Amino acid sequence: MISNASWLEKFELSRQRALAGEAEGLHDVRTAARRLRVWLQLAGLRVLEDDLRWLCRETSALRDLDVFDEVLTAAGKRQLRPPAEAQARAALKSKRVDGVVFALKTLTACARADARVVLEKLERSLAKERVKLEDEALHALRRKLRRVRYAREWLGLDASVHERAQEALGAVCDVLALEALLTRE
Amino acid sequence: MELTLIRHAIADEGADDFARALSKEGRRRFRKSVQTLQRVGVRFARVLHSPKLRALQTAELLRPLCDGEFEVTPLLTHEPGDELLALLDEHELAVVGHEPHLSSLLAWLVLGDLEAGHKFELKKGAVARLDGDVVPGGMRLRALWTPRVLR
Repeated sequence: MISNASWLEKFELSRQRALAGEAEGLHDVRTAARRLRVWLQLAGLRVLEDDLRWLCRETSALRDLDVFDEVLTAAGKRQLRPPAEAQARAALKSKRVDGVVFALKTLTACARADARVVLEKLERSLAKERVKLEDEALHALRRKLRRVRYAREWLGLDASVHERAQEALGAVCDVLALEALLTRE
Repeated sequence: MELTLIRHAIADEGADDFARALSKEGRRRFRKSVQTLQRVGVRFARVLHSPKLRALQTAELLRPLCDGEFEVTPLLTHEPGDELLALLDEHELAVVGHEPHLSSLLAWLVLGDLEAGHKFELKKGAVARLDGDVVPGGMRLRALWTPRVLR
């Protein structure tokens, strides 16, 4: 059986750090949310996935500003940070996220054999992917790669190749995100 | 506005109220109810559910009927209030919750009286279909299907 307890604990701790204004806390809570989404997928559940996806969406504007803090002008930060901080804070403090934590505590473990079947499906889907040099296609590929990496790690399997590929692709996606942010500034 | 209230399916007994899972029979019966709902064309744009395990598992079984998002809220674990009402203002929403709060919500929406929940009997797996405005006394009860009818 695969328990969600360790990442659920990290989720709760980093949520508090993010609410205290710590940029790394925000990064960590988003990572924990994504790992828990993959855990739900391995457990064959759809419920709570939308809630965790919603949290990542509501906090993404602030995370982008944290990542690109050094390249933004002071005027840009003054304009973009307050609404992004308010949006992220409201989501992190929401009853919806309280509900996710309550519910995940009741879903203690998923069966390893079932999780294996899901992993194989994820790996097949990733293998079919062909790289297209388009923004959305690259983001989609990165998401699939991340899901397979996290699924392998939940099962205790080696995912170092996936991790390196995800990081490389992440660097490309960061450039695309920066371009989008600078267009908004 | 169309709203559907669903009481969770039959669950096993247990000391931890949050962690009571659906029984095998509860799952089997509710799957049949979902098939019936599907046959009569019931669809949901969104499902709101309580974080208790039995409600979560009931919501999961509604997957074939829902095109949109699932949302968890602890507001369904206690007496309904204005904060919950604000979440219900969405077309084709299904709500999966518990007694006695679900009957209280039904009475509040249909009769305008939060204390009149005892006038409605929502068995485990029962489905109440309402329409109208999501304000106290602003909705009509269009159907109240017992689990037996749905099976």
